[in-house]
Amino acid sequence: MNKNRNVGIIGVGQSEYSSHREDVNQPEMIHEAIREALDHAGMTIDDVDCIVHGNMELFEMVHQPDLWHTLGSGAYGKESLRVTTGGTTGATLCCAADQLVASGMHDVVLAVGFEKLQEGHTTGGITNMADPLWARQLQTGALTGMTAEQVINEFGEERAKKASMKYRIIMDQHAMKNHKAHRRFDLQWDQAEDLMYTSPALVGELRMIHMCSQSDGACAMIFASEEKAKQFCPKPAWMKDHITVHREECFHIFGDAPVLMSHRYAAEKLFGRNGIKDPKKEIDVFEMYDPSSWWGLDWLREFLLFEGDEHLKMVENDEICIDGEFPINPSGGVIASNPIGATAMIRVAEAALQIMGDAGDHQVPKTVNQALASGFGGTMWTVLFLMTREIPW
Amino acid sequence: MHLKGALHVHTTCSDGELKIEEVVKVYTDLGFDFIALTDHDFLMRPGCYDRVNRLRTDLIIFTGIEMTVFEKGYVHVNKIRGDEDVLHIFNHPSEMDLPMDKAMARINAVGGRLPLDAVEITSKGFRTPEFEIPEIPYVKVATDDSHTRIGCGRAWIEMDCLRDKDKIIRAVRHGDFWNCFAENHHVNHFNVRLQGA
Repeated sequence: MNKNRNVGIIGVGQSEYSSHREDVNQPEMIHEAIREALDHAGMTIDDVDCIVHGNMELFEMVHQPDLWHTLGSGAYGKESLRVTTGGTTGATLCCAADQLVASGMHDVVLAVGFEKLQEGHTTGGITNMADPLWARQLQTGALTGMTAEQVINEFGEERAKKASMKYRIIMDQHAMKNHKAHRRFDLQWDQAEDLMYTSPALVGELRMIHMCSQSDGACAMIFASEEKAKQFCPKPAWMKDHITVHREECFHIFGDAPVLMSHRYAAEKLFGRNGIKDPKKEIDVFEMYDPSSWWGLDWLREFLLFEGDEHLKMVENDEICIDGEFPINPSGGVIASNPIGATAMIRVAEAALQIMGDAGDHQVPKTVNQALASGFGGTMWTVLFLMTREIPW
Repeated sequence: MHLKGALHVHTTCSDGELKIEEVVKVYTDLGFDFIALTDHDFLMRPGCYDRVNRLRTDLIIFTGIEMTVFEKGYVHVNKIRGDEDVLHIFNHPSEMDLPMDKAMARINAVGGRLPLDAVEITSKGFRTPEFEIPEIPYVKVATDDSHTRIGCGRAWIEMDCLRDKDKIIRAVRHGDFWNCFAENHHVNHFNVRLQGA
């Protein structure tokens, strides 16, 4: 990526994530995240030039929520932009904020993603997205057992189920270190065998325990030009590069099963243009958008450009644990917290916190020089970020 | 004896945020006489309620389970154990997001499979009056379904009954109690509206 100027992430804020945040309304919940991001960056809303706002459009049945949220976001009198790209909304917010700063248009941009799903009807919103008359020949939705079936077919039932459950328990153990995470079950290894069979089935071998839930919550991030970043923050996380890949035509209601290629394609391009030859060795931590433990398991292979069963071995050998060789989702990932419009942004935010060394109890025990973060959406839409501790150029 | 109780309480034994000891303290401080621990079936570890018997408290603690029952989709049914008797409650029907006729069909179908005694008329402690109708042929009961501290004490039942688990269960089964709702969940629990069950 050719950037006009360097962009640093200098502030991160997150609300508490929960299935029901009845204690706050939407502007208050957003304010919770923005307040923390401003405090983290050591600035006030007066230092912010522009607000980028996003969520899953109409999931809360609110038209133009950014206008209503002005009280909480501080956007009054500032330039403001609303972005919605489905499950990747949070990631696209980061892309937009990064580019608004890199372009020179603004020096400091605050991005905020949110979802308050208790106030809406997610299934109603999702199922209305398919409309063949308007060439939207897609059926979005995360509840699919296809990946589980594919992994089981390829690696055998016992190994696949054990690896998927191990991935799930590792994510829960990470979430237990993140006090803001929504689902923190304190799952133990001796529960794995039971859960594989007793957890209610959703579709095929995709069970409730494997799947993310829906959460209420907001995430805010502050992106700044190099000059401003150095002025406000002693240790920014630098946004080196990001790539967006999507192929809507491969996800049809009527026709062949979709084949997810956007992750691998994005990774190949991103690594190629940044000189990354061995991502497993050169990347220190990866915050991956993992809607279920089956997908998280399978997608490791795509993002790390593996063939064969290397991704399963990584899980089986504890390499993805917070203190492992290649930590995945020290925050607990999407399976732990899923406020949809914010979910992909949380991946970027958490990766940035790891670089800054500010992740608290779920900080990985090593210096993070390079971090990856990904977002994913229903139209086979991948966004992949590369962030660094050293200033890129 | 006038008793105040919560029939749907989650703890860290499944997806609640409070430990059993914390839940007991919260409900004791709120003036409750009994609670039912009803954690989700598939997340409960064997023996996780064993320490209930070792707690030193005046609170009557029922142990139960929130069962995940498949009836054209997953619904939840609480099974609450007394000393001898067992109570079954169909949980938060409003969360099925169904038209009333379909919701009633699900409740009745589950009632055909399980010895259903009552149906909740709350969701996370918030009142759902659309289910307080005579066409649903079960006792209507208000509960918290609490998972967090702020979820405790939003809705409860009160009854004139002896401090005996089986007698409490029978009082619920016969509708001999009042459903109670806190009018302002976040300020206090003094403004209580009583409603005949």
